[in-house]
Amino acid sequence: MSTIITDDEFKHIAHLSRLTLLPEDGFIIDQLSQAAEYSSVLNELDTANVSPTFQVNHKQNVLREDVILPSLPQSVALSQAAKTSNGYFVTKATIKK
Amino acid sequence: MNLNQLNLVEARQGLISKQFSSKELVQSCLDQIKKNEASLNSFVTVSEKEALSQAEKADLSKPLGGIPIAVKDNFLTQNIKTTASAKVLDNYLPQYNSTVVQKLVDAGAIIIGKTNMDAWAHGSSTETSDYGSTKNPWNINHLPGGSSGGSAAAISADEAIVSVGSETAGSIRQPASWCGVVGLKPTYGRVSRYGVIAMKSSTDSPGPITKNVEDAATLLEIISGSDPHDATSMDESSWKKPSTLPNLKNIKLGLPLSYFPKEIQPEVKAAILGAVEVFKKLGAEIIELPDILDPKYSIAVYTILQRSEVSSNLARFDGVRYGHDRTFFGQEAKRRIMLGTYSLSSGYYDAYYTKAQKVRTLICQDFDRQFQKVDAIIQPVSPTTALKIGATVGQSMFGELQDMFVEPSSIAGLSGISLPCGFDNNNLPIGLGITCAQKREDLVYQLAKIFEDNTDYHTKKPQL
Amino acid sequence: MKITPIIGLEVHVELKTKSKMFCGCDASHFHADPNTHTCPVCLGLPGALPVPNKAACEWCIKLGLALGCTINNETFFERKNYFYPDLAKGYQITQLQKPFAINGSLTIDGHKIRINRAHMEEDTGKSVHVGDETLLDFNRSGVPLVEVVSEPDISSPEEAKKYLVKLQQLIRYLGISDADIEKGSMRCEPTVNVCIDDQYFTPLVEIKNVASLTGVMTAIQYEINRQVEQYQADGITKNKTNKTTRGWDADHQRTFLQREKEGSADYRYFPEPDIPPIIFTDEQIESIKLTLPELPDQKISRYQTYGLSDYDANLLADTIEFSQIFDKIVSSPNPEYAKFVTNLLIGPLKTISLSLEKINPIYFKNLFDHKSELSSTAIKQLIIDSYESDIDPLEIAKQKNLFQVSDTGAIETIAKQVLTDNPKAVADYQKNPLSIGYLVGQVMKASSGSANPQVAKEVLEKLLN
Repeated sequence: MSTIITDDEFKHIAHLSRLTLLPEDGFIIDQLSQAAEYSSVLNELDTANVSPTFQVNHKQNVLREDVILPSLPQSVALSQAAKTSNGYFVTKATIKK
Repeated sequence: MNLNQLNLVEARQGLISKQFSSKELVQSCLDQIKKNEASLNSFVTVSEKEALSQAEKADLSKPLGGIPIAVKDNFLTQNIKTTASAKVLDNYLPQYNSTVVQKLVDAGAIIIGKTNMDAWAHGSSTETSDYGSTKNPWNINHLPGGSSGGSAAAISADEAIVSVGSETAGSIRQPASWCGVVGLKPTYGRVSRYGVIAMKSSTDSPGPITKNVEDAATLLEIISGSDPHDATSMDESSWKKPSTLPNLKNIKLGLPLSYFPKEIQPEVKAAILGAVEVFKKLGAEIIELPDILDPKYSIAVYTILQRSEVSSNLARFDGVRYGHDRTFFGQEAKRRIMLGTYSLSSGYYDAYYTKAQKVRTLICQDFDRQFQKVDAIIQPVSPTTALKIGATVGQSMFGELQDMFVEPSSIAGLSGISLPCGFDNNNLPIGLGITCAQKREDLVYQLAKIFEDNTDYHTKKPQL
Repeated sequence: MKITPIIGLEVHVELKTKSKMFCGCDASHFHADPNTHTCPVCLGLPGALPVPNKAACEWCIKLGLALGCTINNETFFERKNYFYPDLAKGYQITQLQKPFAINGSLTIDGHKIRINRAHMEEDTGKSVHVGDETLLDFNRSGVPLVEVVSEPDISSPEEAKKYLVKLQQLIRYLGISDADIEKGSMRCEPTVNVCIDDQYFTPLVEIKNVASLTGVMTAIQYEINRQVEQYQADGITKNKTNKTTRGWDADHQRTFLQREKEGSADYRYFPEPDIPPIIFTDEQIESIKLTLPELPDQKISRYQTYGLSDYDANLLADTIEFSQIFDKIVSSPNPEYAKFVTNLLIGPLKTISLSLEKINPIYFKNLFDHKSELSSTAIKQLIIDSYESDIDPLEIAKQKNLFQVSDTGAIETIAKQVLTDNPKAVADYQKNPLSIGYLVGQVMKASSGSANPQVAKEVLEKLLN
């Protein structure tokens, strides 16, 4: 069972992922289309009365007290950036969200 | 025997009794690395100067004092380049230590280098590293397994005394089995994930890769324990190795029949069944598990959940605050991100994501049922021994299929180990898998130790 | 053409916790040097993990309870995935399927505005656009936000403003946020469309970048007008995919298109694997409920039982601090006393900054008990003086010789003399009784201000008639 992924949908997924796809990455579209195949095997199992497991070690209520802890010094926070200016990270301008 | 060939216990004894210095021990490992790196490529970064300088100041009173350790390159090491074997992080010097590394450093360990891996841990071969594949020390035309291939190869080749790796679904146990070393995957949450570059957050488990079972247990004692920085870490403080070994007459071992499909390599099957005989002779009761859930469901669950989480976990890499921009992603990473984005987008998510999480519940419940009948599961780790270089090319589901025997226990967050139990006709190692319920590393350790004490596979070394 | 505006409001409230939502960095960011309150977690460094702030969760529940919401016993966080340079992880940790609070309401002038949800999420960093570059400061990244979403029950720009004012008041009552719209600790995004002739609905528009209460009203009104005009031009009605986002341009007083198709923003929500679910039992929720202060509506009702007018009650209940001062002074329904104290609080005492500790109820009581002996001017000054000096106002009055004579006998004597000395004024009074003021003034003068003017007036009238 496959789903046909159109070129537009493929480009849309690449855009949502912020990835630049090269011609040699074109094979990925086939893999997307086949994604439903291996997933469909799950339909063999009856999960009608089963609740999903998001947390396999059953933890809950892991909360932190509202206490201030030391932050990184500004120079350390900025130390790995490609470009900084006066304490700010700098990047190419983007369209407003 | 050269110093680098010692295991942890031997090395510590030697240091404390002043038979040799930490500097000599570290130098011996560095020499081994120099000799073999061209052919093995286990390391992304070797910290020669820093390691020797620390060796001179080694505090032998600490549990790992003076011991050189190899750390998989997805563990953040402050001021030591950390890349996850990906060009995106080619120039990244972390501003903090992962909790595991901090614990190792506090215990006196000396980081000798960062080991190679599948880029971003996306794989079961180390072939997808942006820095070239690591080779298997047993045969350099073969793969070491992955994603912790570099750590497994480094231990197998005696380039370090101990190492740490991480497992999402097989990434510790599978390379350990292909490289003939011990790989221990702790219960999910036993070891903090803080500072480990995330792959699949809900199953990522850091753990030791070592020359023998005792070393793995010692390392787990040091790196385990509740961490306030990791909300998914267990409440318990560090794990303590049991001081006794049980009488196997009281132990029931389960043999999962669906883990022996017809595609399994015959020598692998024979070695596992041979291991079963060892346990049997020592008095254990062997119980077949005919109705254990077929691993094929775990493959689907793992694939859906892993891709979804991966695509989200890699979203922070935009080249602004650190690293390079997203054009530096390798093809495998791009593929996984695209598949993940697709898995989470509206129609597909509604159809499969929740279903996968529900089947995950069934997998956990199934294990609960099996562990009512048996104390531990004996199983193959990988359907084959180390495959040839190039085996993964064009195989889109390579990892997921290769790891089918270990995916179920990873999805359920269980504890498990791989240790040497034989060799195939080409002298490539075979790993025995022992899997127990959550929080039962004590039994994993005990059973593995008993097997090791009664066999000598773990003493064999590759001819480099 | 009948035009019915349909307005919903989405409000983000910045909580004033000490630390951020998922890490221990200092959550205050106003005027801090850039990138000085960051850590691996809020900076989105590789390997960093979030751990939720307990106080923030409790405050979100508090706000939910104050809004009459049902509190979900089990909640969890989810990831909202999108890319923007000020979103450090490439996803925002927020809530979708199971928010902390659901199904509440806020009543404005008798009209119930339903509230869909109040949930927790983290704030992004700040971007500053300079030329063709963007500067990023992550001090604000990870600060806790509560998002309150109303149903589209609001029917006019004025009602929208009242909703916001009331919500702001409630938030400040709870002490969980400064809720300052200009400073950005309370942000509003209206969603507007219009129903025409009870049958046609214009497409939904979400308005961003509204930075003041007046701005909210103006932007909504502008948008209503624009949508009606647009509908008249193209007849396009609302459907599942034509919601748009428009920015409010305060300088030019208009909205402008920001995003063509809202639907294409596929956020790919999924449960946050790094944060285990959060369970609050009924008992725990109940104990949080017990920590709620008396809320504005309850206060206003209570003040009305004291005999105060709606207007006075609203003024007193305006802020929790102000009402606490009133409550310290007036603790039981005594209409005359309540009115007396209210007039002082909203009158002379409004000119100075009051602190609850310094208020001495006895001073107010004393003035009230002796009010017939003091002029109203004197009382107003005395309450200020006694607050600032912490001296009993009666003491001050004695020292300053402010006590008025109300003894009718003494006043009569003075009044008789005044009448004798002012025959013209007496004649004026016979023509125009309202001119008695002049004669009252003369009595005051003759008594050096100590006569009670009311009593003086009565005595004069008695003598003149």
